[in-house]
Amino acid sequence: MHKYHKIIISFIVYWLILQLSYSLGSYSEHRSNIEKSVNQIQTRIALDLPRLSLPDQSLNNVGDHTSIINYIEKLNTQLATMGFKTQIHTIKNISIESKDTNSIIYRSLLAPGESVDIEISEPNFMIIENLSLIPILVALLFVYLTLEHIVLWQNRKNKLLPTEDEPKTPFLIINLKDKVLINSESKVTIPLANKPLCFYVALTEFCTLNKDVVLNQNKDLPVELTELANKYFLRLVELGHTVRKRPNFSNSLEKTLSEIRAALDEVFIDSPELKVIYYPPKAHGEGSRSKLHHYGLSTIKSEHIELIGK
Amino acid sequence: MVLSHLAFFRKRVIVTFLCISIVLMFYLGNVNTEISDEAIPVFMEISSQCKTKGKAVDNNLIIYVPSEVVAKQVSHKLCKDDVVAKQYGNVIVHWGYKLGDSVEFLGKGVADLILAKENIMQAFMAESTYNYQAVLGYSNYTAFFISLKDKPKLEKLYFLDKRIGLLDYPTSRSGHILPKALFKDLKVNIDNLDITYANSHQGLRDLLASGKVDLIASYWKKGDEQQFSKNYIEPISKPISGSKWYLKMDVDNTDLLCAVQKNLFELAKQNESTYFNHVQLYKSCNTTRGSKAVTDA
Repeated sequence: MHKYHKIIISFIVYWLILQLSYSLGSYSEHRSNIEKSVNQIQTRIALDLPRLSLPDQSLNNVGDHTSIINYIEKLNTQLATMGFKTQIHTIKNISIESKDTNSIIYRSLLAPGESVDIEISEPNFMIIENLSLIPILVALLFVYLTLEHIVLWQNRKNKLLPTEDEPKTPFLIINLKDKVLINSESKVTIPLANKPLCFYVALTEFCTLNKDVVLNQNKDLPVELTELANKYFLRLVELGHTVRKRPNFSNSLEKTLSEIRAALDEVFIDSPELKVIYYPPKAHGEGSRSKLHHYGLSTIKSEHIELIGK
Repeated sequence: MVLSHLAFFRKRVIVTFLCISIVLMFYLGNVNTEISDEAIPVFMEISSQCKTKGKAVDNNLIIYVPSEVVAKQVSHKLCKDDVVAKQYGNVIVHWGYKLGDSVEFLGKGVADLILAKENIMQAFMAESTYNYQAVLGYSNYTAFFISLKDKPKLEKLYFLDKRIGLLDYPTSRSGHILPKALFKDLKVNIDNLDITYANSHQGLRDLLASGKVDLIASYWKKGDEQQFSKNYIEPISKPISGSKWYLKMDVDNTDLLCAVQKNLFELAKQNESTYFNHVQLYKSCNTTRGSKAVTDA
């Protein structure tokens, strides 16, 4: 999804939330306005009741339709000028013709000796009429203020599909054909002798597969590690780098590790923080003779290494 | 990531501001549509007042007329009159909406000038109590039964199977008092008659024209022959007197009487209705043009 799509979506979400709140505010006021105006209308009609010529069955009065219609129209004009949206529709069965089918509020005015039913037409709540520029402006302001987060959100999503302009974590390339270690980012290329090369490749593979095995100088090499080292030595022979018989990897292990460390130091000269993954840990001080010291690569994963000429 | 001044705007701050904004939006939406709290003012008029050119600001000429249109015409006319201006600062005219209003204004002698029917005047004995004197009167007229399809017969049997339209207000002679008096004379029990009431003479005519009643009690006016047949009317009684303008004569204020008469006469002449522009003048005044318009009974 494009960056601008994200921004538009963010804007719409902000605007909808703010407009919803605005509309709710309008609606609650709309309800209270109706209640208010209905009360006002009831009071007005109640006060005018003695002056209205309404039909009264008990006194054989048919009432004066024309004057009541006139009264209703005058009252409605008055309501409109006061900004009330409610309109009186019927007083005691005398109705004016109404244009639209608004909902009707029924009220009964109870006077001594008579009861007058009135109908008040209530305007429908129109969402359209309650749209305002303010929520749009505030939403725009929020989009501007949170632009950085919106863009970030976009990047986080894109991490699953790496793009070319995204910086890659440098990883180590081991080329068995040229007997070199290469930093994939800085392209620093460092040659390594046969024995440390085979051992390092075997070590990385062994540590990827056996995370919890502790490698200690004071113990014999695990059989699997020796087999892996032998296997890569045979591969070197196949590639024509040597004709000598395979070395004993258990001998001078410390020297082999030192050679590996020296090479890695040079490979990751620009980004020393990455060495943690690839660097066989050194024993410090007394720890060199400690039985707990582990020279294996505990954090390495298969994606950290690319092996060429396997 | 490049740090900018916006780095300050961290998630927690954003959420806080967003919440505040949401509450603010609710408040704005609420305030936006608020309506005023004031009560609906009185918009129904039952009287009006105008000032004369005169200085007697404490003296009010109070007029009662049952019709709003006539009331306004009369008050405007009298406000401009010089004689009225000499004696009164204000002219207040009431028209009211209810029958009972005329009882209040006439029976208590509140109104200085009033348009009333003779029978009401007599009922309150207002002529002797307050010395109301007729200034100008409209023509006498006759009450009729008007039918749509046959000539009404003033017989008991005729009325028994008829639907009859009458006026609902009891002060009307032609539309209420006289037909009911006739039923009484014919010994017809009114409760057994099929009577439909209307609010006005026009309402009665509409009832008859639409066929909701078979006959109505009313007067015959010019223009009725377009809707009904003059052959199908039957007088109920002798001619009855029309409404009259009465002036309260506390003192012998003949100047005022003549001024009022002159103005009312002028108004009557302007009236388009043939009934209302034929008037009879009572109490001769030298100031009037002397042209008495006597009606055709």
